[in-house]
Amino acid sequence: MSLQKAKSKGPPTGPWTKTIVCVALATVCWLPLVRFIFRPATDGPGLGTREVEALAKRQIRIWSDPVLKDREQEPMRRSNPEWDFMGRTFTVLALAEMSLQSPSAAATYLPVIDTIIDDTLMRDRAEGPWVFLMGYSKARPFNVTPARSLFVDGEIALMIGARRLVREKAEWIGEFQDRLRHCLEPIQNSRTLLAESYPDECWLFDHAAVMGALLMSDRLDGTSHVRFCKRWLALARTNLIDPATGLLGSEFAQDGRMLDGPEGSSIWFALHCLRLVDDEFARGQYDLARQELGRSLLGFGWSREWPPGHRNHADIDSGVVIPVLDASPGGSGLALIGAASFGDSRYLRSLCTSLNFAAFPSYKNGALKFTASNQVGDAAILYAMTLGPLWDRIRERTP
Amino acid sequence: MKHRRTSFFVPVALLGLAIAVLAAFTAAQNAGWRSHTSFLSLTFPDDLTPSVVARRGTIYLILYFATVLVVPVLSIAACMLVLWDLADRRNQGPNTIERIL
Repeated sequence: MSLQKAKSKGPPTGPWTKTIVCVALATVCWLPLVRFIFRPATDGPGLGTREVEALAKRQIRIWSDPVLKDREQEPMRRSNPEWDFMGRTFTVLALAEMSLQSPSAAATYLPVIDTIIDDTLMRDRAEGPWVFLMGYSKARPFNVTPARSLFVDGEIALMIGARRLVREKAEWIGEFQDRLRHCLEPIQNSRTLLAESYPDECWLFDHAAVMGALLMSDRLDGTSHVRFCKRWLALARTNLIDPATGLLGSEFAQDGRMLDGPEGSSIWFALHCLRLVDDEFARGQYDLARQELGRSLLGFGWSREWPPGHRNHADIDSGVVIPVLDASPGGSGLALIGAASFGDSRYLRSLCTSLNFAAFPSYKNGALKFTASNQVGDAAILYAMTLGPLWDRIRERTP
Repeated sequence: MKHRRTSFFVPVALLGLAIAVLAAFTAAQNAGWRSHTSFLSLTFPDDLTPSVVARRGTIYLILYFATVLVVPVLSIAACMLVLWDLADRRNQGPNTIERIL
């Protein structure tokens, strides 16, 4: 009774105060629930089987429909020809993984893989590695002549190696070994064990991909590159670490000077490859990268492009960095590969929730694309959702 | 009287704002601006200049996030306000609600 009196006699709460309180309460109630709308509808941490198949369907359609291929690749090539090339690599890797997971599906996927590799080799032979490099690659000469790009040779080797790990293709054994030789020689001839992808630019991403391809060769052709890979990694641990974070840097001059520190668009995939050389070291780096670059809030995950305190300009690799959150579309896409590779289910789930929330999945005739992404982004997502058996097969031989 | 009018006005205004955001988002969606979010990955379709794509994509993003994050908050807040007002009036006397109705 006295409480009722007190209530009725107390000063009435003003309508604007009430509004502010109600909006604040509604915000607190609603925001934690948003994740449940966008969380992948699957028991696993990644996208569901239906989504993965629909993503693969679109990638396959791109390679069987020349009009669609042009429509996807040309806008990407205008921004960055590398994306066209990396889109090929991720598609081949993903389809190889899917072939290993389901051998009956290999009959569908292998012809697509072969088409991609044939087309890539044809363009590389006709126009040189510059066809897949940004324009500034011609601005000055490479230190090593004749000019070759570790980026191009390494990823072509990776593509052919993946194909051969699914099913041998004798006519590509020579090409595979040639590409590896073109990767290995400049690295071995360099005091710093660094080879150029662009004139006097050596990238962690590309060296890590080469390590993966070299270990594929050990598995496929009985070569022995394990000691070389371990030697390279030992030197990297000494010379290529950013002292502020303890993470591997992303870009170096050939004399070993760090040009760019750790980047989300480099580190996640690089660590996935370096797992093959030294799992423990790669896992330690992954944990550090999660701490420095990986972010989660209210069930949504993303990757920064640079660690806090490392101010850098947004570039073609990072995509449009979202202010306040410092979320990098490029880094976040590749973080999916890192999270999947290192079995970080929680982070992977939060990244997939963000994909559904902010990358705008769009279905057409049963095929899936992410509207905010592009072909290389979709191919990287597909690879992240399928990776596993290929690396397992390489490690069957790698001690 | 003024207080009562304001109490009625605020939830309606919140719902009106929510409906306006929803309508603007639906218009952007129907205009096909969702595809312009590809500007986030620095990929621009052939037929439009990058600045047009970026502008439309940004507007779409703002409307989309407003629809997903703000519209439900405004709607929930409007419901809460109505309930709060009803509770206040019940506490102020048995005839208040009848007077309002």
